[in-house]
Amino acid sequence: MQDDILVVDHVTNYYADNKLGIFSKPGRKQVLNDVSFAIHKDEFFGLVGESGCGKSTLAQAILGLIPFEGSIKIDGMEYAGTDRKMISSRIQAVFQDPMSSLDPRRTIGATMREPLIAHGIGSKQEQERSVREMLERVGLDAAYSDRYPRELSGGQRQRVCIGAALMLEPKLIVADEAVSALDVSVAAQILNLFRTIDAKSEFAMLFISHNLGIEYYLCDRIAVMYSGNIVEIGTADDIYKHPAHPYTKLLLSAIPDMEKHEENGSANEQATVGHDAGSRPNDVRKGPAPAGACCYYARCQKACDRCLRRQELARTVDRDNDEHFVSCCLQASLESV
Amino acid sequence: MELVKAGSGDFDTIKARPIMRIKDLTIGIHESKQVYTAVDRISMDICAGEIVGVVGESGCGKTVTNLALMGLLPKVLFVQGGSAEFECEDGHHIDLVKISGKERREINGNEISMIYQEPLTSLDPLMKIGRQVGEAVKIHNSGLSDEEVHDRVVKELGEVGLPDPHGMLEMYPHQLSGGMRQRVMIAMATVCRPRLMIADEPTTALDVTVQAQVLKLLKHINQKYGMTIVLISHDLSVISQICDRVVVMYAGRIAEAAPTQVIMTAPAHEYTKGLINSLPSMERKGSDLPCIPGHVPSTEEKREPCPFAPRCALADDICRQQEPPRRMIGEGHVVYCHFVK
Repeated sequence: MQDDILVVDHVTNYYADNKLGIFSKPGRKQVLNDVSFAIHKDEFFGLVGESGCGKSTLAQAILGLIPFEGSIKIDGMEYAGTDRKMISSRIQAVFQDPMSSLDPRRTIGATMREPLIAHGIGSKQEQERSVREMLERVGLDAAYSDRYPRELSGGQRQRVCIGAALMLEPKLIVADEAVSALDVSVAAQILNLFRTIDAKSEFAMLFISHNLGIEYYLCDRIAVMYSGNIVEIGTADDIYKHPAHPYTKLLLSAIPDMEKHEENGSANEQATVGHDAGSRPNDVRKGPAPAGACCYYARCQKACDRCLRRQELARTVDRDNDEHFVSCCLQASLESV
Repeated sequence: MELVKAGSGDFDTIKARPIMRIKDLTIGIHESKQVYTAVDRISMDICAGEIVGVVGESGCGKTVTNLALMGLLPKVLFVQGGSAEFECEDGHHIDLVKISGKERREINGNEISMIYQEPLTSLDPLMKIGRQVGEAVKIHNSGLSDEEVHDRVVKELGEVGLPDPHGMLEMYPHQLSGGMRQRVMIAMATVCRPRLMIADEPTTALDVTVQAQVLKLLKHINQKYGMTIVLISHDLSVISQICDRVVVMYAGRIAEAAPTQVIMTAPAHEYTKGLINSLPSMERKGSDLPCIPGHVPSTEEKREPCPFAPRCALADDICRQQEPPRRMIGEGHVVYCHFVK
């Protein structure tokens, strides 16, 4: 489609998973399983899931850092057969830990000027001026350009990383757990910064997080990922207020509720099964799902024989709503429950 | 400034008997030949059978305080002053920051235990689960036979909700999931039935779904054995789930302490208000989050008498000249602020 900045089409990725023993056959572990979605222009797209579900692998595939099967188109261009510079001017990343993203021996100004040098944009004076402008845009003083990362606080470093990502005016920013390493009060500042910068310039964002609350706050649409599959995509309101997939419901019920103080263990029944002997703790997988089954088969409490087939991400919950997709065959019956 | 009564902590209106009284505890840090203050004269009482939450941002001193109680401070940190009086099971009182190594060995694991953030770094990767959990039992109960130790470990593993406790004895930590490892840690911390358990960010490394289970398990242990728990976290929503009372720390000092319900509904300190408001919630979608400007001061930075003054909207000259007084504004509700009446 014309107004999609990123199109991820049937992307699959494996890690080599060698068993112990030198004569064993090399195995492979599927990390991404036929992932497809699109991000529209100027949209904040959230990706949420537990650790190990493949969120960061997907981000690396989109950034062209790892090989994958399938196709990823950024602004209509694929990594294969396109000049890397063309793509990197359109897509930039912000990672979790700003200290490990910044070179400790370079000044902030030098780090932020680097993309401009690499792409040969402007003279030295122009580059330095745009660095100063960018520092002010991300809420820092222009004088920070001569400082080193160690002289800044965590929140300021993350502002520098965001500024560096914006230097080339990309059309897509991939933010992988960009506020997870920050203190609560500083994370709020960074979330506000994302919102104000977005109002001034046009870019789309893939915002990856394990925190559904932050995703809901910031994003227009959210995709929920489980074990390498996208199990539900919808607008933030769809996901948060009308979740359709049992995994999304579990995630939502597990968010600590500020108003609900747990008295005698009554609240959060679904998410907190586990300490009573006899009941199945649901962080214990029933073992791997049979080949070809729904990815959530092993953990789903409602799983039945129909779930032994892989579920397509196709069914809409609400027939009038063409933004909300879920990959669960029981979803129709769950809805009536 | 209101006079602090002798022996009074921040919870002195609470009727329950305190099992630990921390008084004016100060912890210093050696850094590049200078001494800075990491924790500045904090006082609190911890009562028997309650869950106390300690909340604050990184560098506020919440972990350092609890390492000092366990006698586990790294070399650069040292206790400068103050006391932490703990009441042992047999009724005699000891000062946790002054006891000898021999006394410490009697206390740690048996009377006070601790759970850390990342279970994989706390568990010995080369030791089977059964031996790791049994170790504490053997050390503190030298009279027990191997079978008795074995039975207690199996019972404890079942108690914390691990499936197949017998099979678990022969497993290694790497064979378990993150949530199961944290349950093993909890089993190790509870197997000797200590009076006090300190849980330092026990759920931070876990997924949300597992976090909810672990929190419920802690509440269950608290209720079943009447075990006192100190839960340290940076996440106010985690604290509000299971804690009876909350202590909010900022830059090495206590800002506010109150029952959980009071903290969540009627916070008095500007910092507590800011912390609660800056959590993204459903109602705030589409509008700016009210955040606290500035950043947490590092230990080397010069601090104002009220450490929150540079970030506080109410701050006035008095905040930069005088330390905020300790004010009691309600049942068990203590605030350190010039502007709270």
